[in-house]
Amino acid sequence: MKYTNYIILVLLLFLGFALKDSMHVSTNLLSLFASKELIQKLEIADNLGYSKEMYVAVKGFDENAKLKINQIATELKSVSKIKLVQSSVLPSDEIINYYKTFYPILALFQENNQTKESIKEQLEYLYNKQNSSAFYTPIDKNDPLKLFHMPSNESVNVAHKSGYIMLENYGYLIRVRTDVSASEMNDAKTLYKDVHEILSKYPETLVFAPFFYTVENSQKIESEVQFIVILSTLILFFIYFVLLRNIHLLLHSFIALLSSVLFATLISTIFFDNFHIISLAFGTSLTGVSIDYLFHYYFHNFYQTKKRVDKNVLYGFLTTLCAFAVFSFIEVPFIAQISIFAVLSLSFAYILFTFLFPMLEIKEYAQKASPKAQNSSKKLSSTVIFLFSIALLTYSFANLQFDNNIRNLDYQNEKLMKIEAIFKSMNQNKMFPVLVEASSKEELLKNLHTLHENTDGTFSLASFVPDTQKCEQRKKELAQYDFERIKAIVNEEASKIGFRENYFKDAYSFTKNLPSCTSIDLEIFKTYNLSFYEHNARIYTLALIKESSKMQTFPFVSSIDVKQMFEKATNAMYESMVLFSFLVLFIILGMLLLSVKKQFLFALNYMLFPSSFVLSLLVTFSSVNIMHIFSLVILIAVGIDYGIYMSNSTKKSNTILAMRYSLLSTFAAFGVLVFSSITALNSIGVVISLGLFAIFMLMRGMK
Amino acid sequence: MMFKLILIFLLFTSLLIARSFNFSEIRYSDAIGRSFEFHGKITFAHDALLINYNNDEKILDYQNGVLVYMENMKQVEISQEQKQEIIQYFEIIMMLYKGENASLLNEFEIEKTDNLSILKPKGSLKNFIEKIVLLQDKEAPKEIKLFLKNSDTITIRIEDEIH
Repeated sequence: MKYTNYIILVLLLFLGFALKDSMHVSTNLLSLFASKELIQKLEIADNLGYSKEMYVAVKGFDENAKLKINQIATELKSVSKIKLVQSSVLPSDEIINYYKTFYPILALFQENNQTKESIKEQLEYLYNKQNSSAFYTPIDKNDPLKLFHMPSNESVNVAHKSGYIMLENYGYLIRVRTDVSASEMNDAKTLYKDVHEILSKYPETLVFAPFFYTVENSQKIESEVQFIVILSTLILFFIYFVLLRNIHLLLHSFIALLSSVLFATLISTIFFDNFHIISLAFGTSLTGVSIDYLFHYYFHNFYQTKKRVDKNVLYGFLTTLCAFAVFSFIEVPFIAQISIFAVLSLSFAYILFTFLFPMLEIKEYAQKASPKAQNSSKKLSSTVIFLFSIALLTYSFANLQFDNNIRNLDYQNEKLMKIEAIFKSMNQNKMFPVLVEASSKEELLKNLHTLHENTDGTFSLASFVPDTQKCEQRKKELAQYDFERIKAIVNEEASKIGFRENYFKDAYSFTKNLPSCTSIDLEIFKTYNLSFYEHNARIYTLALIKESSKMQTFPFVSSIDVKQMFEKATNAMYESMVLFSFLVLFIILGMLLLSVKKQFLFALNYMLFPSSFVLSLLVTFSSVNIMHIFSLVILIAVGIDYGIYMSNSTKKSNTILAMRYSLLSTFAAFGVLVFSSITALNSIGVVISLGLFAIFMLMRGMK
Repeated sequence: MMFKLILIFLLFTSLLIARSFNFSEIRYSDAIGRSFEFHGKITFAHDALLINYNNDEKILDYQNGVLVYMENMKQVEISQEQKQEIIQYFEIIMMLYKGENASLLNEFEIEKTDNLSILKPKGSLKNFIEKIVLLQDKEAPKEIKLFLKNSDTITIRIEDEIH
């Protein structure tokens, strides 16, 4: 029987190996916060090149800078994973050809009444200009009367100088379209290395791509996590080796925790779609809370008694379980997934520590000097602490400010953020990317034109391509216009004025044999970062709009602003967290009433005081982020257990000892994160460390 | 006041490094089958080009991206479209004069033989310019001949420097 713990782990490992193909783990961070539909739209936007752009800027606007730009552009073109390098606004041959072919449709057409006199007048003006003008006045033999006029096209959506794209007030710029998105770590690392290798030869260059954060931050995070894992392991070894001197207990607790994590991982990844790796990581950390059960059993020598269950641990476990079970109904996948994992792993751990460990021949805890009981006259009553906690909570809610910006949770890579800000200054007009969809190319163009008509300064395929209906209308208009008459008068008058005979013989023949309105190849605008993508019988493209608020009026437009999306999701999450927290609070109150009866306030304080204490400090010195909220949940879970143990304890000194070890181990698991410079981890560390300190104060100061 | 002073100072310093030449411009108009010859003074400075025709008081002044046309010392408005055409034309002449290889390579394919270069446009310039033939003497441009799409030609001959 004493090997059962090992056997369970081996069995679970075997099961994990056998079922590895049925386990679904998602690595897409968005899946934790956004709906499936939104994620799909972001994937489509990714396919359209959104967030896969890279920018390189060379300082200065002199000839040297241009030379550098040309050299860098040539070198970048040879890098795999780079799809397009653009340093100038020169249109491609395909675009030039397109403008030529569709000129009568794209140009502005002045359909004014041309009389013989007006034509004569215009031709005379042109003739005289040839020898009198200080500047060359070209004569267009195809359109001498300038009936067609192509408006100057600044639609390329980039600032430029002498044909080169520029970053205003800095220098010339190269726009690079890559194949790498921020979530593809390996490709991102390779491309990052290749690009930096090239640019190291060129001083005074700046480079930025969204995936640089992935590469640079992950390196920083990796080294921090290594440090934290070492620190955490050292504290745990200190607890087991130096304080407890029980390696047997360490080994079995470690195996039991591992089995619990494995069990929860198996169930959650097999039965739930897209269970996220971050939920697994947090769930694993939460499993550490179950070590409370072990310490309580160990210090009360439960394993040496014949009792099947310890009522205190059972109530502690059930209350925590209920809290997480309720949280699992929150519609935000992040919270729901962690809660489901916690329910599974804590239940498994409880079963192992309660029913299996008595068979493992755990050494009896030899009572040493018990912690000295404090003079109870110096302690505060639970009513005072309860009222104080309520006051702190009221203060906290009155001053609560949420931080919705997911970026703030990441490692604050200030160097890269500064570079990003320089490149962002390009977008002075603050353009927002949106996804536009339709069932056909014609409908897509129509939708884009509707968007252009209703939102000024929009940039999309419609900046270059007319919608089919308008194109057909122009063709009809041109077919009805009497160009033959105009041509005849032009030729007649021109020869009288002195122009060469038949010079205008082909005038306005370009208005005949016009191309089909549906024959425009949209692919040619890829150089302007405009393309389309077909998915599930729908066709999509990106557009840049100035007023994001107007977007909701168009059913064919969806936002792909990740920042906005996160803000929306976190707001929803905060709302449901607050709502569900009240529900959980009622359940916990019920459970406490059932388990601790008269000591109700005393037990409740273990949950209420640490959370109100931490929350009040947080709102005083910073805003509250999602990681703070998550850590408060852990703190509540730990607090419930301690409250029940302390209220019902018959041997208080041993309970205090168990709690001290438990506090230390919780600090080893979560508190050490306070040393991290990554906001997400630091937030957890701050909440847990302060919370543990509050619990410690309660243990010493509440009667 | 301060702004004006700065402007005068900038103009003064830019003129200090400017070089002026006598020049002739021959425009062949295919529409009327005749050539017209103009003479004047051309001044190159950093980011500036000034053309002053001899016979009449007509000046084209292009500085830092701004084009001003003057007749008899009075500014005359010209259409935006025409302005753009002249600016584009001036930019090309400035590039050729300065020998800005990077800029030229960006916009043209260049075939070079001894003192003669043939430049064929790459981008939308293709719609207006067939080619440019540049004749140089010790790297300094002596003659620039533009062959335009409508079969017109413009020949600019840079003659003796005015000291």
